[in-house]
Amino acid sequence: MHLAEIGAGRCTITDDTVVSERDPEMSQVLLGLLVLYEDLSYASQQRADAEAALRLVAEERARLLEDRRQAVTARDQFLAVAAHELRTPLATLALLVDYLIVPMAPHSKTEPGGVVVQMRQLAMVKRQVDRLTALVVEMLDVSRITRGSFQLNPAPVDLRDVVREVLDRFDLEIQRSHVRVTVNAPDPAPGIWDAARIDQVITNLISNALKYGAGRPIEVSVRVEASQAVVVVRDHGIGIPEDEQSKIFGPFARVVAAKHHVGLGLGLWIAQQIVQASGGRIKVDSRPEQGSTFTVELPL
Amino acid sequence: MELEQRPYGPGSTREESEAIADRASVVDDRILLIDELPVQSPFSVKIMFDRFRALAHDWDRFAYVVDLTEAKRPNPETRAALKAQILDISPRVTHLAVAVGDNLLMRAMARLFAYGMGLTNVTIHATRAEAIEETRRAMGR
Repeated sequence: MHLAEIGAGRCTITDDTVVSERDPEMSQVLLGLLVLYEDLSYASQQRADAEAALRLVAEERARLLEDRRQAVTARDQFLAVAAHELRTPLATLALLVDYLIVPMAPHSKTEPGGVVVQMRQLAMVKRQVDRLTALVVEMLDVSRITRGSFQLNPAPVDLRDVVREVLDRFDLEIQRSHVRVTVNAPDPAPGIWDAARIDQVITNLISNALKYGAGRPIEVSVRVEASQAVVVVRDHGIGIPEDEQSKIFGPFARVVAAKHHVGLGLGLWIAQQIVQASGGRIKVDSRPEQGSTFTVELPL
Repeated sequence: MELEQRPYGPGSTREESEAIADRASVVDDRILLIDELPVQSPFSVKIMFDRFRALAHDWDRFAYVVDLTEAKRPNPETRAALKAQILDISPRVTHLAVAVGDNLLMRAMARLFAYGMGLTNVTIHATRAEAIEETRRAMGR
């Protein structure tokens, strides 16, 4: 007679013991025990697999919930920032318009220096209108990108010219902030891109470099490599902590607290969308208090 | 084609799948044969029973022979697949005759399977010819 031992992941019955058993009934019993043991082990394994799958589903669910929570937080932050950003120029505009109405009264026109004051106030009005327009354009871009109706109009353009035009527009701001900006673009960088959109990307990078550059020098370079044109904007400012670097290209990203710097936190996200839609890529290399280097690579 | 002594899975070629399906055939009117593979798998069980069902499509009742002469004992996963297929066709089965040759292990396995599934219209035979003969008798011929 075969002495069978079954339990705790161990079964001494094998096919050979079943076949070698002389008593047909005992052989049948041994096989039954063996099959029962195997079926229970299989069911146990199936249950363990199902539990593991359930754990995965639970983890995925928790992750999705966390993503959703973060998305809701980001949306709420965005709404708060957008409201603040829109309210600030509007308040300034309202105040300026009040000032402008007063000198328009007949007795005020003759006051000494009245026209000069009015011109200065109008220039301030223009700046605030421009700021509001930029915010609205940024929000429209987000709307187009998320709706999938964002389109590029590529045409032949020299990347070097785009960079120069952007820097020309920033000339006054650069002078006012006493930041030294050097440009290294010795050769033409012709390609077929949407000039207005690439302008938008570079504008964002230069604007960020001025905002977060802590007044230190900024270097801009344009070069052509084997199959791509490369623009590099480097500042020596506050930099970005390593754990934040992956987030800065996300929508509503803001590494620095909103109270310190204006904007909706959408610029780099829009820039990345434009660069990717152009077949290129944008990347950052940064260290806190040492500065950031943004590199845009566009296919030729 | 010659099938190898290994379990066949979803990665099998069309020729292999066809050769597996061909192991199910018609012996006589309303009598079918399953010539079981040496090494069965849930995949091969499904392929063979798909062909089996196609062959028996027009018959409300039929008998069949399963030849286990060359077969090895199926693993728990394959047994589960086999049970599901056998239970699915069992309402239309008049008789099941199993040929086991001198395969003692499969003889015991067939008995255990029939008993475990509550099948009463099952006989076990030494040869395929005997099994076919028994199905003919069961069909009243």
